[in-house]
Amino acid sequence: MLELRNLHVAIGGSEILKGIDLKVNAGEVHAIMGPNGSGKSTLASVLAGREEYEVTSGEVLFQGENLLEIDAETRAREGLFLAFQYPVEIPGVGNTYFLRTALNSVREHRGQPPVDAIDFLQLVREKADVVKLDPSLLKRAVNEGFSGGEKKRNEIFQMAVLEPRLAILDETDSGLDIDALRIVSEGVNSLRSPDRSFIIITHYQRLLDHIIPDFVHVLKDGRIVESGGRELALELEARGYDWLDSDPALEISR
Amino acid sequence: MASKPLFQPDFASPAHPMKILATLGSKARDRFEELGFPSRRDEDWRLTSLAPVTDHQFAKAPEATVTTEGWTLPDAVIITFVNDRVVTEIDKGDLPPGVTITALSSAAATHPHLIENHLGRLARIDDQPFVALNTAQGLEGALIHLAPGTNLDRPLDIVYNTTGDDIVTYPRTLIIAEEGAKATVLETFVGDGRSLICPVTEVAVGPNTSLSHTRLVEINTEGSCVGSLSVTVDEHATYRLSSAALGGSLVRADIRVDLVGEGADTVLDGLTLVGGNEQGTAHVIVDHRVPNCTSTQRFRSVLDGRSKAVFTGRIIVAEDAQKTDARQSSRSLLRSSDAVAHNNPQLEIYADDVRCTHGSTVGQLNPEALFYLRARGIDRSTAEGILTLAFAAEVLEGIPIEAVRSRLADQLTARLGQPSHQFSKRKAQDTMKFGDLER
Ligand SMILES: Nc1ncnc2c1ncn2[C@@H]1O[C@H](COP(=O)(O)OP(=O)(O)O)[C@@H](O)[C@H]1O
Ligand SMILES: [Mg+2]
Repeated sequence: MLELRNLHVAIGGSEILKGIDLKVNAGEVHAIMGPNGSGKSTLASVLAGREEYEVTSGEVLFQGENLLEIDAETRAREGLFLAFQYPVEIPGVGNTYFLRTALNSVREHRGQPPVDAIDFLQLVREKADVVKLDPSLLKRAVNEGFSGGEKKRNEIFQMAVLEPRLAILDETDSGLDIDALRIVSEGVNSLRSPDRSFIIITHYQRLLDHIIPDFVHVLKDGRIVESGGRELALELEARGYDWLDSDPALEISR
Repeated sequence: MASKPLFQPDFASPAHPMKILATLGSKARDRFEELGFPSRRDEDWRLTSLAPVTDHQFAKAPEATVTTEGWTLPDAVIITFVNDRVVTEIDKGDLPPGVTITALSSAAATHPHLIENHLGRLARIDDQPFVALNTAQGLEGALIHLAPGTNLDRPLDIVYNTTGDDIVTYPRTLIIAEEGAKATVLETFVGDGRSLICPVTEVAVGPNTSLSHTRLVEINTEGSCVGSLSVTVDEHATYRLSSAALGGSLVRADIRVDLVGEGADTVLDGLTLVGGNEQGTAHVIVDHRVPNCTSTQRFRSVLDGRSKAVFTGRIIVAEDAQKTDARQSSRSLLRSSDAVAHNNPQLEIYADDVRCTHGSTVGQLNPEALFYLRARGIDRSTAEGILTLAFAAEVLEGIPIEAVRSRLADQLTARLGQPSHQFSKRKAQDTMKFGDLER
């Protein structure tokens, strides 16, 4: 599904990601954990196609294609989805209108006919229910005046509508209370399938009590310093990140 | 002025048979000859390049009587101008009671007091060269009169057609809404060639009257429209204006609203969309002459290519106009790094107990919002169109007639369909976001 080989990324001349290797197969759920500022959102943004980040070396394959050569909208149409850490408010653009335009762009790319307004409304009602999103929010402008939790639910709701192949969730758990966390997690779990993969970025392990990952990676200072199974998340919860050294070369002397 | 303008208006038409109009016309002609075209030294015209008007010879439009096929509002009272003249045969039986629509020339005979008290009194020739020019050119336009208490449930749709190249037209309309009247008026200025339209509209809004006014300028990129709108709003009356101009070599509106009766309220919205080498200007004066009036101005411009948009909004609050509440916001969206927008709020406040707010921003599309839409599969140019339409939404939504609103939205979408110029990456980063600076 997705393969990163020695990915280096810089912004404004400073290197943020310093050689990431990662392989995500179809149906797998990978968690990426790490302290603030370690480069998690940078990784998510680069994968989603943000142009201000500069890939200085390495490569990324998505469904066998060179992802870095494709623009953001085409990545989305080919099934890559990013649930933003900070979803932007877009005054004047209606949520429903926006999402229908997005869905029809994706469908057109897949060679499917556009959905009409009535079928779309039906679909939206169904999917809003998955994350218990208050349907009245759909009448508002995109994310405008939404609470932090509502914004996060809206991201997962959009994911449910767009049915991506690979979803990257950037700290979707932050700002959610226990109930909302459970609802959002159930929403994500209901979308798990053998041909859909997830990269779940978080720095708390509590989300991973609900969404059980197949692999856990620790990102620190732009490098993956540790990878393991779900037990790694528990260890991180107990011991923090400090015991992990950011420079793998130093591991020998530990 | 640097050189003699190529455009020499033709004043050859015979004096008007109605004395009152003839007198007005000859005074205006004298005044125009004194004033000449405005120059860049004139503060109100400093940012306007008049070249599209002065560097070209426009002939006075021939007298045309054929009605062109154009878009009109369904279920409206339609008044059609072709060039300078009203060509609609207003069927008196078809007009709602209390409504008079007549050519100015006949009105001078049938309603001399209305003409005397209003025509040329709202739009002043002394300091406005284009008003003088219009007034000097025959006054062939229309009078629309609403008797006291008239509640017009159908909109009035006035279409001004200017057809052909190299001609100039001077449409003139006087609207008088007497006490307690209620009406919705649409004016559409249509030009299909390299022509110049110099319209003047005067509107007197009587006490307790509610008038909703929409003005659309639909000319092509070779045409120009330099128009003037002068309004007085009497006590407890409401005057609401939505004004939109989609392109034009030079499209300028000089709008003056005088609040002359206590409790008067006005809301003025404007949208200018320019691209290529086009120039759009809204020059607005709101004059609070008496206490307890409210005014709101919301002006937006969207610029592509190497275009220029200017908004000047002057709020005048007279010395005894206490408890004035005046608001103004102007925002420009630059879709190209070669376009230039000027927003100039001007406050002249002589009273002390007033509330005046103004805010103005010039910005680009929010790159975060653009990325968000693209990250959901929406291609860049569609996403830019969606965000631009959203920028204009406030003004669009203020248009009271649904058919006009959706037509304008369609026209905007069609115009925005052409991919806009891309910003360099460096520029996109020091972009500010809308909302940051407002107020
Ligand atoms: N647009 C940017 N410009 C400059 N520095 C950036 C930018 N985005 C991120 N960074 C820097 O990159 C590092 C990683 O940030 P980020 O990817 O947001 O980390 P995380 O998501 O793990 O908290 C931080 O030091 C941050 O300051
Ligand atoms: Mg982050």
